[in-house]
Amino acid sequence: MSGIEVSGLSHRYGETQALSDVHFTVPPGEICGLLGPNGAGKTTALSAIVGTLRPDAGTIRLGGYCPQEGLQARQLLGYVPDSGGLYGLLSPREHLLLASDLHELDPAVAAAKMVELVEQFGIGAILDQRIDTLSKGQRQRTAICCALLHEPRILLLDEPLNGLDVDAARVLRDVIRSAADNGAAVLYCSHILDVVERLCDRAIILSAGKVVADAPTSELVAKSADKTLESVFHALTHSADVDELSGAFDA
Amino acid sequence: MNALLTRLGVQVRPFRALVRTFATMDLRGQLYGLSTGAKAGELIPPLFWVYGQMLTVSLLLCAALAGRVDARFYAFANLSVAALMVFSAVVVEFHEAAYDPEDVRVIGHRPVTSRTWSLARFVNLLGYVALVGVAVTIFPTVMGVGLRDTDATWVFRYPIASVMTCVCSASVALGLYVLGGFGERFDGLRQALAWTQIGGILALFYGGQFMIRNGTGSVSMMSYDPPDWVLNAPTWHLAPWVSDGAIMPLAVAGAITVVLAGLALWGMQRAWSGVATVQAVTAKVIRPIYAPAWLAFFGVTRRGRAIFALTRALFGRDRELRSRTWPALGMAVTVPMIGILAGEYASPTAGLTGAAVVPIGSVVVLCGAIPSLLFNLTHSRDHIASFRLAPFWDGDARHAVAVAVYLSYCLPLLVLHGLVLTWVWGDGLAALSFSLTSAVLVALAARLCVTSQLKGPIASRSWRRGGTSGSVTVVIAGVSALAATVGAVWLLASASLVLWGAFVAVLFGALVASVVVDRPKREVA
Repeated sequence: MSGIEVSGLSHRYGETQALSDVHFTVPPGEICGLLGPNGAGKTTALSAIVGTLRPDAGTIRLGGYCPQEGLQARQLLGYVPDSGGLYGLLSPREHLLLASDLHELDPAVAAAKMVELVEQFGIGAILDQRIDTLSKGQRQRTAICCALLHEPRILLLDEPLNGLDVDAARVLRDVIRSAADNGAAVLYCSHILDVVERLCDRAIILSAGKVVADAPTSELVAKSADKTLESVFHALTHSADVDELSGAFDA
Repeated sequence: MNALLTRLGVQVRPFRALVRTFATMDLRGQLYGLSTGAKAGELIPPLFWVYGQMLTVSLLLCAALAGRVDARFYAFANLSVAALMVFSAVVVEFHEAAYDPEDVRVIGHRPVTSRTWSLARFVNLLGYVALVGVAVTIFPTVMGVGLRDTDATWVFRYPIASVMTCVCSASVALGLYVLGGFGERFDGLRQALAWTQIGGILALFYGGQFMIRNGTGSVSMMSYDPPDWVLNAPTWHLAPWVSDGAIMPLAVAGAITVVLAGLALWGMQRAWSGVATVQAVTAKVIRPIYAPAWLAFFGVTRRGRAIFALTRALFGRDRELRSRTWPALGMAVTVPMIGILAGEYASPTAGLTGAAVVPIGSVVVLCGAIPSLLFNLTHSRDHIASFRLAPFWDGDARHAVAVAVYLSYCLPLLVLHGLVLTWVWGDGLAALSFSLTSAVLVALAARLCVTSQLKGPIASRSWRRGGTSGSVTVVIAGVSALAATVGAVWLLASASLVLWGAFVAVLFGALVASVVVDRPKREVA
């Protein structure tokens, strides 16, 4: 089964070209970082991939299925949005049950997985509190548990470490690595470059709606002067001519 | 049931989960007033307002018609009002049950078909329709049995007709909401309907008392010889089922109900596909709002000018705030309209008559609207405005907000009112003096409202930040009572120029004093 395939993705908001002919693939078992400065088109790309935005052009396949047609792609998908993604008037337990019902999981299997996730992310004490009364970190933990409940084969994470404390961040990194080891394709969108550097097998850098780098993280780092992803990111995203730099760091 | 849902192409388990989730959220949400930070005893949730309004209108209509019209006209009038009330309630209040923008973010990426989502939302809306449907059905059913040309079968015939009418009406409202893309295009209709609803209620009150006073039996005559617009109304054609048990109207109405509900559902399904796939919007360039220096003339400080600009921006750009503002002012517009149309809108200077009370009454009604405007802006948890203004809340800010409300809404209405008075009374001087007095009285009411937000035995509870609009009714009652008392004095003072001058001078003095008293103490270096 294939992972995430994005081909010729373009989208425009009025006068702004948010994405321009974006191509990339994330095969099963790989953790791929999606990086870019503010306004680079990351959220637009993620929205198109999860199927909540219909792009102007391009094709997207999740596990071989188009997210806009049928439900197969969405069955495979686990998504942690940047913010929101939870009904504030429900409790984490109710949200987990809702996710279980929407994915039509076997109740016994879902209950076992729920117990496992609740323990891993330490949300047992807040399980019956209303989400709009929880802290940002507690909401983020809940959102992550809801995304992982059905053991997705495609995992999309938009700034998943937002609001998480050290322990929860560590657990999340372990869970992501474990999911990839079990064959999930993971697209990890973040501004925290050292986490991307340590966690991701590969990194895609977007700038002004275009892919300016798509290579294994280790190779990107090796090509930079001070051996950090940060300097690569800075060099690529501060150039006036994105086309000129595009591909300069490709493997 | 499961088999039927499956045949309809609905995912049974997700459907049940969504219905359960939406109902749970409704019971915890603001419509039932059980949200965080609000105790049940301190508020009157919007649902209760709507419910009470419907019961009241229904009761008044039944009382006005009973014994004056035949069973068919009685059924027609009640069904028509039920249709209008349900339509208006769905458009103005309960559209939130049909679509929550959070749905896209929470379940947009989950494996749920648009048909499953739309049916779950439709069922959620029907829950509210059932609630309000009961409110508009109780009195016509109970009182209808007592009409001289009905029998006991009315008890089930009327509710059946009422259910069909309510579902049809809700489906049409939902269809319009769907055509508007669940969004901005729908807001104009919402505001128009909120106004129409208020106008309709006032007309009903006026019409009710007119019918009771009227000795010529014109309403009875109308029921025996209905005009064309009545004969063409769908509810007129359904009424024979209620009055005489005719089956054909019932069958036709049943078919229409199924078709309209099906169309609304189909529209929702298509609209969900639209909103679930176009989430982002293009950034808008908006015109900045400044506070002019001449505001100093109204006692607004330099710091207050910033608050004034913020208030104007919130009024101008928060659609939800605007949509709650217009209905509060609707009464102040409707009272003069009814007074003028009824020929009871005379100048107080022309003598102490009943007709001279109405213009002053319209100003009193405007004073009574100010607490709601201020509450929505400064203390309601339903509008972001109160959270934006909270950090700056002192005497300067209170005064600036009062001036913003006054200049944005009250003064334009008073100027318009003055022009209308000049035309109606044919006496420019009388209209001018009336308008000047109104301007000072309304300004004083605005000042009284913001001053009442200071610590006080009742005010401190009424102006609690984060409450719903129920708590501010105490302030509305207080301001209205005071304005009515001052209005009575105004009416008496209008008999003499000297008395009127003294009256205006006292009002103006009180206005200046209220500004000075509320000024924050400046630290002396």
